[in-house]
Amino acid sequence: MPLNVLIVDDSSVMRAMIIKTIRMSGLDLGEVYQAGNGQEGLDAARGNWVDLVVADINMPVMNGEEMIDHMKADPELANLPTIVISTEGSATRIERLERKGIKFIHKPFTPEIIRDSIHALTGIGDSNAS
Amino acid sequence: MHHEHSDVLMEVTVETLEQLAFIFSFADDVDPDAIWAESVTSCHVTFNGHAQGGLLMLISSAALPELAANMLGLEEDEAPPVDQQKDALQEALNVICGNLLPRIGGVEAVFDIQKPQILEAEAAKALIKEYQSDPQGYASAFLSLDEGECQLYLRST
Repeated sequence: MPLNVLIVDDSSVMRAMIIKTIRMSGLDLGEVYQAGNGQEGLDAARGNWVDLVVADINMPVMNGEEMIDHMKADPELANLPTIVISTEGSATRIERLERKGIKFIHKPFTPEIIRDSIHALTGIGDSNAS
Repeated sequence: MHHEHSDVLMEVTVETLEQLAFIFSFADDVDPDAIWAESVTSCHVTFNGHAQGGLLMLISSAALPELAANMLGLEEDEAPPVDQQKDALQEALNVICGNLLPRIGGVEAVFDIQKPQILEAEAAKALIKEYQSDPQGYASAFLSLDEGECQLYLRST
């Protein structure tokens, strides 16, 4: 089943990198929605059928953690699998995100890390595929 | 000059450029001012929290199309537009800074990293002088690339 993905990052280059990397990971990608900040991400998640959210933390208007908190408070979005891809290096902040059920990936990342994280969150894809 | 921070800055920059953009870089001991002989693009990011300061990155403008094209996965003959080249540089500096700070401050340290900004050449030169005026908190890394040079200047207090 193709995976509809929402990418939320204020860098258009990073959004393109994430899309390219998900394609390289061998996952069957369906619709790809893009947003430049957390508020746009929330709007896109509410207005489209999305299977997975991939978000940055540091963004203008609404950061990634605020967006996740809004999602958790919305019954329609509360259980949406979400991956944070960030340069964040603080173990305290990473643990706080993980306690919210978020999978954390540190930049820079590889297709294998993306594939394995998506598999761990959704069960989609073969985490042993090369 | 903080030599330990300079070594870490060098390691993190080499690793990041390779992993993020498939760009291989090597330590460069040429005259640091020589980079200004060609067109240079400068990008600066500030941070606060466990420590505060900034990280300035200079890169030969000739290297920017390759940096952006590799990050975007474009073919060799495809050149991304200038705004995407600058976006790629900002993201590269963001990743370098994000990986550098925990190596300096430890993984328990909390930092807030601002969005990197492109700087004019004169502003970058003034910032280098300002950073160098604080020997205790100053670190630098000079790298040679296939297409030009790359320099990093860190000030952390």
